[in-house]
Amino acid sequence: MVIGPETWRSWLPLLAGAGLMAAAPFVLSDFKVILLSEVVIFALFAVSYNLLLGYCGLVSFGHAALFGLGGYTLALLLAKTGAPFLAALVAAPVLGAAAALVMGFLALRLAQIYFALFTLAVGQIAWSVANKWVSFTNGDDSLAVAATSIPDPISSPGSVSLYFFIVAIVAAALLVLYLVVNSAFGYTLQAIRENPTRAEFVGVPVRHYRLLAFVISGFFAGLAGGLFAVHNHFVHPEMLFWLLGAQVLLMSLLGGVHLFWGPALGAGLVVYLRDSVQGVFPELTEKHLGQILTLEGLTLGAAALVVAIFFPLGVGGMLQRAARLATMRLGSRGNAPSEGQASGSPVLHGPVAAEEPRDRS
Amino acid sequence: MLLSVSSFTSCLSDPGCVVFQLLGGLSMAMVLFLIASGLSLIFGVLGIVNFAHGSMYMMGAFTAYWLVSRFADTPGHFWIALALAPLIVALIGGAVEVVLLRRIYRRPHFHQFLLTFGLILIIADVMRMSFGGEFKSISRPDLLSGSVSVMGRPFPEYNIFLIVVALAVALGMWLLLQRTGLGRTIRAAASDREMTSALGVNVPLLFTIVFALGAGLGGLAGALDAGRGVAISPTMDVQIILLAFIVVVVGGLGSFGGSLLGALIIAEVTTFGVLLVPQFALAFVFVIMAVALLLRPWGLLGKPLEE
Repeated sequence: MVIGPETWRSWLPLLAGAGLMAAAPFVLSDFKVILLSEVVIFALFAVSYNLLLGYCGLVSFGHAALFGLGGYTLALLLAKTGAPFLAALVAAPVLGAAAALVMGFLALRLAQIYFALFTLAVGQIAWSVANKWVSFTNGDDSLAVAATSIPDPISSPGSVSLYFFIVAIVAAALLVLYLVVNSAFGYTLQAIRENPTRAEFVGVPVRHYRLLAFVISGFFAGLAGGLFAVHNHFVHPEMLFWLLGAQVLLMSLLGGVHLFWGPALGAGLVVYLRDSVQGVFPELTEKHLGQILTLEGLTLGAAALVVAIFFPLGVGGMLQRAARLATMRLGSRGNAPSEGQASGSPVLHGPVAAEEPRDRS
Repeated sequence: MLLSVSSFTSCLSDPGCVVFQLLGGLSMAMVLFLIASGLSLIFGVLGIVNFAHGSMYMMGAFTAYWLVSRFADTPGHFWIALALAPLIVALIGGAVEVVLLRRIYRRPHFHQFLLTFGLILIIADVMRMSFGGEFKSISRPDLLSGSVSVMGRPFPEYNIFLIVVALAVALGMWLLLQRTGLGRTIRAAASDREMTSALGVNVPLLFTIVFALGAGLGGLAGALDAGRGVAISPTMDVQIILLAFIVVVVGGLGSFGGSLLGALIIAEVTTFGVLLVPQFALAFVFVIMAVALLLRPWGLLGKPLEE
């Protein structure tokens, strides 16, 4: 790794962000802190989902099932077996990974749209089970996570300790994901995405790599689900409904799938949009995870349309392009930063970039 | 109670019950067929998986409701609504295609999904804002409000009407595709878009027509179902699109006959499945979808995708 002006400059946004996150609970209202925690959890969910979407080029519609499974694992273990909290929190991602292994093993045999439809089918089967097996999961009445089963400092919603707990775990998880993505494994995944046939010919076991990516993605999706259960104090079958997965897909695409932190940005945007729109129509009191309420739908839908047509790189991609242009102008004495490294995060030259050859500046 | 074998077998042993269930399933099949054929048509010709197709169905139902309420005093208002609703939906579909979809044909699938998903959100919200979130329904026209006795059980006349209309539309579509110049052009464009364009066909216009046609089919399904007394709500789109996908998977994406076959299978399996596994009937259908995808993803009558 080269230590030099390019590298230290790229740390700035990260440090600034960390500083903001640390200060947040002390300056924001309780409600905003809860909202921010939700953003953080969904950021993890979205970034782990992007491992499949952006890095592998695979669209899965069943990912909400892995998220929900993590949440239900934690809730069920705490409610039915009185297991220690930490064990339940570890079990959530483990079960997410296990389910991802099964789902991926079957789904990866299929190509393109059939892969997506299969994951949709499996996800919906899981949702039906959660919804209808009322004796086990409480079904539509949701399953509560008793505050007594959570260790003290983090058991009250909106507490500063809970916030930092979530942020710390998510930060660690994102670090692991970052290392995964920047490893040989991560680069091989991108090679597979670009040209699976060639990768196969070069000797890469394509199915195995994709399956491993699926499992890792499921692991962290399950962790996000477990954290969500701790955060909300209940779990509901809608956590497994395909619409929630579609929202995460929306988050990733809005933020930018070819950036590591793109989906996290997208998560923030979507949650912020939904919250600010709700304030306009206070009579909409009920909030469901999977469904989207009036005006939220319009706003999100419009955002989706605008991004799909005009900003295929996503908001994150646009920001990065703007930053790159700015630094190129500043350092125009021939010291232009090397392509893709200016922001310090890996830029995937995904299928979108291939569509816009002028972007390879 | 997971498995209710007793009610299942008791119905199977009663021929009247079997016929009754079959007919009920047939009505459901016809609605599913109309939606799925629109979906298949759009995919076959435009290459787009129209996730917003459920929204077309929903718009058809709401438009029918609105027309019926608006013209409540005009005699024959139901028939006006039934005729106009699909046309309105087709027009909206055409507009959507021209303004929005055209720009993303060459883009990767992500963006197509994003666009259609955005449409789902917007259309659902517009419906919710215009009509409110509560369930609505329209009553059947006086002409068809009776029932016919089928082997001792009353079967609604309206359902028979629905089946007849859907079959007529199916026949009409088949004739259009197989026996007219437009149909030939559509099939050509589905087979090889660029060649068709090179031969001088105005492909963008053709795409608009096809999308409008597909949307109109979905809208017709919605209007017909609304007349049946189905609850009209802004969540209809989500519920129906899943079933439409299952039908299309089983029958074959892009195959017109496949939509019919798939719709029949899924509808009958659901109808009889509800007897056998009342709680998990819907999950049952997803299991079928999953199994179908594993065994024969291109459906019974579809063609394998070329890589």
